[in-house]
Amino acid sequence: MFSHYMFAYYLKLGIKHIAETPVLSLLIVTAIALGIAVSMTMLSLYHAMAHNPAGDKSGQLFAVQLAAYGNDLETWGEHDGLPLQLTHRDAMNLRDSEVPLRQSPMFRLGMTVESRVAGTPPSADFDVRVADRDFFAMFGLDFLHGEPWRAETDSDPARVAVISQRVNARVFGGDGLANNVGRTLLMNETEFRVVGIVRDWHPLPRFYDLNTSAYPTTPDAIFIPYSLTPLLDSFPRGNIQGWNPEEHLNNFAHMLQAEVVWQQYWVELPEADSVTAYKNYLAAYVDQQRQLGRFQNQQPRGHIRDTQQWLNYNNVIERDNRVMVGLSFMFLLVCLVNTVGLLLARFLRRMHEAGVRRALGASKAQIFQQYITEVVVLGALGGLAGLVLSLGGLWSIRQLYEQYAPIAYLDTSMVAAAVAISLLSSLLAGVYPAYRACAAQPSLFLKAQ
Amino acid sequence: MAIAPIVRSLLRSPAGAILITLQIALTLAIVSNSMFIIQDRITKMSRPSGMPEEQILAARILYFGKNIDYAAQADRDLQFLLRQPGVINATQTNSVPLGGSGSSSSLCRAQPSNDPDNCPYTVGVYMGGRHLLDTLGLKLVAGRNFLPEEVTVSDFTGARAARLIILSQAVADSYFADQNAIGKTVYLGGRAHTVIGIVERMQSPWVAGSEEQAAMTALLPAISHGFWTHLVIRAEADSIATLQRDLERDLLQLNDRRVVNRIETIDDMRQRVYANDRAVLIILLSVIVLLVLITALGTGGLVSFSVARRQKQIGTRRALGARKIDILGHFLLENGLISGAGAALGCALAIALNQYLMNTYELPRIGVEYIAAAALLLLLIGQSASYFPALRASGVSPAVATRTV
Repeated sequence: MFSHYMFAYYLKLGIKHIAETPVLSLLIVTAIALGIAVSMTMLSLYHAMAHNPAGDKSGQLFAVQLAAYGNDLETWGEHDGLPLQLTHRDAMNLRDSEVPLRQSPMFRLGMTVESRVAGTPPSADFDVRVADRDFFAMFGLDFLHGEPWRAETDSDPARVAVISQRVNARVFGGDGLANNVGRTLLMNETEFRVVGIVRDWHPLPRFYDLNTSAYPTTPDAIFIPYSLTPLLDSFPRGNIQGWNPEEHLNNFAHMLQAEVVWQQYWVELPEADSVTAYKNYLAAYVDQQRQLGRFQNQQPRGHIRDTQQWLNYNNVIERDNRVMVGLSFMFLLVCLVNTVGLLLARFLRRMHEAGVRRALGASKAQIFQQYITEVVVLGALGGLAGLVLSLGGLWSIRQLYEQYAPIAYLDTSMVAAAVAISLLSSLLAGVYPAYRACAAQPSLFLKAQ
Repeated sequence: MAIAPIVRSLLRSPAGAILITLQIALTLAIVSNSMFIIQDRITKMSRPSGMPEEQILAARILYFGKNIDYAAQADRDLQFLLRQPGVINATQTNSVPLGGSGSSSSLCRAQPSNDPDNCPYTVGVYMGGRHLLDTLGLKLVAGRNFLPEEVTVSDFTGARAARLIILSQAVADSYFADQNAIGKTVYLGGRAHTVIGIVERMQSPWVAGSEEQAAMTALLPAISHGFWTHLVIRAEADSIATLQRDLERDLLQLNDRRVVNRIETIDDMRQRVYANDRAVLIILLSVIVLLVLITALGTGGLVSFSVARRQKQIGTRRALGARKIDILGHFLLENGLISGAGAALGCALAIALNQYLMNTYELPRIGVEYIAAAALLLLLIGQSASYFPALRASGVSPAVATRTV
């Protein structure tokens, strides 16, 4: 029997008791609040780091890997013998496949952008992404003006560029929303024609290129056609790795031919059939390259991983963060044990009150309900305070970690989790003390009175 | 003082005691492991770089002009810098210890280099001219520096022509044990290099990884002129601030077709590359402080509850002749027993937690001293937290025994 009326009454009693014992109540609320604050701060960070920016398309976007090394090596690259990146030669060859709905090779480049605004110095702080036209549709970039370069540009290079709002603002002034399509962008003293302007795009983790950092502080801000690669005289930013000690890298042209990996490759395979077809295509490609004398290792093969698998494979959540989430929940556990003790003290101190109510006809269940209501009120107060404190905790995280600053915020799911965890944990903490309290023998307390 | 009656009374209503025991045990496990991780990070952050750090300034130069003679420009820059007050030396290099980016290569004792036994380590490779050693202030402990004619100059990542090498002491020790490494041959990038010098300490550009890995470095006599380079300046410590302030402006005055950024002292670099470690340290330190606070408040709260509940008992004991100090002692001993049990259980939990962290996250094994220190801290906190309630208990008047409630 737990009517609304009774609930309102228990609520009133609970609040009255809380007000009557401010110190003990404050201790309980503080313990719950600190437990919630610490665990929610670390959990929110973990939750944000574990975000999959590909969303609905996660299962359709695949990263391609090739065991493209020789020297009869057993493994090279990751522990499973697959390097994370591809050579330029392989990336060029893979572009010929007609299986994927969309696909793009890509790499990151450092170029210096000059501004048209008087007094604004040239900047090397914008990352340039070199990719095919499909990049934009595959990853869902949002065009404010213009559109991607034409399909022909992917085979017939043209000095065109898609720029982000931030670059638009820096180069042409204003808030970056103006339509500057058709104007000229000067990068490394070379002219590029702006064909599109996209909304700032900063997916974290940067799932499509996890090299050097999964949470880069500088987003890709300028996009140029991959077909320009041989004409570039700039330097890729990211990791460049090779297995062949005899390889000579004397200039950029050599790097395009060399057996060194430095590019990423993504394909969009919307259904199971195309996934199978692409796997077959890769197997055939590996065979063909072996015939040509490349891929002379002990396990030559190709492999694809969808976005979520790719994020897991790359361990985007660092060891430190995993350990700290674990420790923060142990912290919450300590706070709960502490709360159980304090609640026990609180309820046992009022044994005689329970005794009197029992003597006047209240059932054990009613006493239990009354105490649990009080616990829930304390838990809600603690949870609320904990939520506010975790805002402070996340603020500290943003100060401590530059790379997590854009993502270390509470989102609605984390607020819901905080509410659920605080109610659940206060209930857990309250069950035993409430049980002890309602087990009171009424006669014992009446006698003492 | 008799322990037996205290234990008996604890066993009669064990709930409160069990909770405190549990809380102290869990707290001990977390605090000791956190202290251990903190110490591990402090050790990592204080690894020596091998450089006279307060004398070093580094910057990154990215050229964007099309028609730049990189070598000639580098010369002009260096000439200019050497004229500045306080400057001891300056040079260009592919990377700087602690800088966070650079080049690494697997270093082999013998060929073939696809046999892992021949190539136990991947070493950080610094490339520069004969001034690099002096500019970084590295200490040569054996052999000699590069001669000007031994330095190869190329236009890309061009260390390919170098045939000489200077190793860090750590590399020399691990590759040649007690033999003299000077004159020996090592293979880097598949090519034989003759060891001509050994530097005492030269930290790698990257700070992730073990202490052992951090000391594995080599120096090649190679300058590559290209659209990016690192500039290193060594100057009297009191001129560094001025140089840092003016460097971008001065270099751009010499040539504005470039971007000069990341102008950092070694201290700035430490801030940048150890940012994550520092964050872990601060977070764990806050966790320890909060945990100790919670445990102190919880223990204090429960002891005062236990005192309040036993007013009459205390009064009776006082009336029967127990002194105030006996009552104080009783509660302190009682709490000491509980905390002691908690600490004992906590030691086991701490080791279990460390075992888990070792297995799952490859953390090192915790030292006994961390557990002992945490146990001592918690016992101390527990005793201080129960001191005031116990003091209050000792103030209970014997007359209380005569009242009914």
